[in-house]
Amino acid sequence: MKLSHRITIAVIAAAIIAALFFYTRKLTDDVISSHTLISDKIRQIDTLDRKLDDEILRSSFLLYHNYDAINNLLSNIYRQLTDISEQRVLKSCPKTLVLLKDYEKETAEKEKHVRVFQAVNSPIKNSAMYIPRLELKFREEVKFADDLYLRQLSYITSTIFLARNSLDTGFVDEIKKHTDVLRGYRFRDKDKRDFNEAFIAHAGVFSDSFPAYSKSMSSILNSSSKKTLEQTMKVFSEEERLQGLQRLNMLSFVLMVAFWAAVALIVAYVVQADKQRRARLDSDRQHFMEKEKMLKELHDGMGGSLSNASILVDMVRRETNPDRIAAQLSHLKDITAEGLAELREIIWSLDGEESTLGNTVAYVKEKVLGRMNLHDMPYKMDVSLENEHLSVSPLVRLNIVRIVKESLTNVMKHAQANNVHISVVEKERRLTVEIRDDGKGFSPALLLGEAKAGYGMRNMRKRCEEMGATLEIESAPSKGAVIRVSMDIPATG
Amino acid sequence: MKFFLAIFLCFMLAEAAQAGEPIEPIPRTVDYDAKKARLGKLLFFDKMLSRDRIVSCASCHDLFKSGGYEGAFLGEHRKARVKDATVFNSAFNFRQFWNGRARDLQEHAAMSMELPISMGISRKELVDRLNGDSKYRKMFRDVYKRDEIRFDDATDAIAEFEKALFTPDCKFDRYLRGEENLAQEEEEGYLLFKRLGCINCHNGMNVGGNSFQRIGVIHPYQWNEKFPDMYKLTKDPLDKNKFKVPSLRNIELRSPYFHDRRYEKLEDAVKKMAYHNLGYNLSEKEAAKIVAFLKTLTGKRPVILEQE
Repeated sequence: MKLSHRITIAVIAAAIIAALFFYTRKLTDDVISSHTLISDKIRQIDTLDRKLDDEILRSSFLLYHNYDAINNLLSNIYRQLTDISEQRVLKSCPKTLVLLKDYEKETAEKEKHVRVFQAVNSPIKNSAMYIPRLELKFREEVKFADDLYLRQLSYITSTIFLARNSLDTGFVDEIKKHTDVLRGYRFRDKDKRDFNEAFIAHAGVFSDSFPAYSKSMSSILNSSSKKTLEQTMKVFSEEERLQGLQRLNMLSFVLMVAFWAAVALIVAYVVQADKQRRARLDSDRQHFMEKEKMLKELHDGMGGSLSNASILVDMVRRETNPDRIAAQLSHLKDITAEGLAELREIIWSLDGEESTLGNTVAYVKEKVLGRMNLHDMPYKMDVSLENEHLSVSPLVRLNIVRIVKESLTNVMKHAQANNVHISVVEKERRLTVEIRDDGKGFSPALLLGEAKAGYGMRNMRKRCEEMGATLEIESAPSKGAVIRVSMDIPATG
Repeated sequence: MKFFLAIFLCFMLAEAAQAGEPIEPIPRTVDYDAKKARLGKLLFFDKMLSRDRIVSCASCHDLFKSGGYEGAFLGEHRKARVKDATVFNSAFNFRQFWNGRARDLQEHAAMSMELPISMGISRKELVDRLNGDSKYRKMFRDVYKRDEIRFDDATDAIAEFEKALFTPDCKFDRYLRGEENLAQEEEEGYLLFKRLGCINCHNGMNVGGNSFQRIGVIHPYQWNEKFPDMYKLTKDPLDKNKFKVPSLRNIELRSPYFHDRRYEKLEDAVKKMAYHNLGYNLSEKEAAKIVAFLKTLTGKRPVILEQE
């Protein structure tokens, strides 16, 4: 896949991951606010529940009391429960859900007791208030001397007082017993009869209603609802920690890591793309420079041969001596042949199909060594290529051929050697070409000094510089010579 | 220590102040959705809502007088009926119907639709009729943003209208707010109302309507199986003659009195209540005082009835 496509895909992925991340954050925020709302509501319900008990106590204690508060508290509790049940996060808190259902049931149960309590509270308050007043009224207005009767009244009044303030239903039988005694009285006097009836009625209301009053009041005050609510709060805060939120946090963490990974990938791709662009620019420049050098090669080589040939032709035209003419024509032929050979070499070096290292070495073997007049001198050539398919640029190929040629020419001209050994080695893209002879040798320092170096040597060094190769010359008088060219073959894209 | 004592005392004082009057004034304004209430008002007066198209909600809840039944023609089969409670201030009641079987106004409206003696119409029939009326379709779409009219939307609109049927600023509420004094007889009547224990059932914002109580606690009241008491729901003998305590607001306009419409005159109703539930025989003078107090509970007509 193209690098630019990869970058596009990575950017899109990063954008999607970022969007997902923010979506998850939003979900997390929603969950958190929902959890907070639920906790708040549970606490509110707890307060309302306590206030309800408080109101029940007040409404039993205070004679003139507004019952609205009780109803408002109850409907408020139900409203809060409905609000909580609408929160979706509860789905992941099954235990809380069960406890809330329990609490709702307990509250409904409590409400039933509240209704019973309200229905008996009013008559009990009224009768408990009336009885002492009636007794007083009787003593003031109706003159009655029956001590036993008066004692019954006092028994009932004081027992009602005791029962109401202790919520103890054990006193009810006692009240009933004394009321029955009152029922046994038959009065002729209408005032006394009316009084007796009223007193019996009120005492009856008390003793009939009191068991329900006591039971409903203690059921309300001892309801397990608050305990359930307390447990709900505890369980909810545990479930809150365990559920959903943790998963969401994990998810947003993973997304964040993925996002930064995508960003790192984009940066890496961009750096790589930049490198590739530079490399392309470099190789473009290299190609351009090589082209220049090849042109120069053509100009120098072919130009030199042709101008020499032209001079010779002029000389031949003016020459009258047939022997000299023959010699000059023969020289002319050599010059043109040499030019032609150079041209062929250049054309060969530019041939794309011949551009491998293996081909270059084969060319050296066949065309260079084969055509040179080396029959006077025994030579040996070793070739060891790790990868003969390595691609080599035209300039390098031409230079290798020319360097070998030049070295061998030098050996033949000056060295008086008995043997020449040529070795071409390539290992891990490192190419070493070595020409070794056992001739008379020379002082390399002398040769390498710019001014005194022969044309051939200077040329060789120039070629090496051109293609980034190192040139080593090892020699001492009468110890032969080694010329070694080594270079890295660059990878071609 | 002194600091805490002071705080404790403040708390006690605050509590004592709260314990003050057991009756609360009706608020002067109530929040309701005006559009819904307007739609509800239209429904309230529409006879199309009853199966035989003879009655509307307003036939039994006369909004031009007491908010309860004032003698409109209801068709032959609805004759044997109990007293309809007033719809005024009913939003302040803790339950609806005499035995409180509806938790709120919407439930009350829904139940009334299906009650044979009331509208006697099925949910489906009602919804079909409303959907067949282009005027209602448009109004409902406007309020509920739905193409189809649903039964719950109709009862919701009616309940919203009923929320607006509150009668604020009666003389007694202004007295509670310290804006007006009661006449001597009225004030004595209120004291008597408390002293005798009437207040133990008739308290709160609606002077009743906030608990279930039995009529005939001291001297039994005649029971009839047709009475819509709690016994009808629970079949518990102790629930015979047990009703939601009726509100005493606007009581002077709401004759005849009691669930069985037995008493025409308010004086008689007051005396009978004192006899049956307190075991007390009120003198003429005492009854007159209590009636004087009760007449201070007549508030202003609901504003929504004057609006278009």
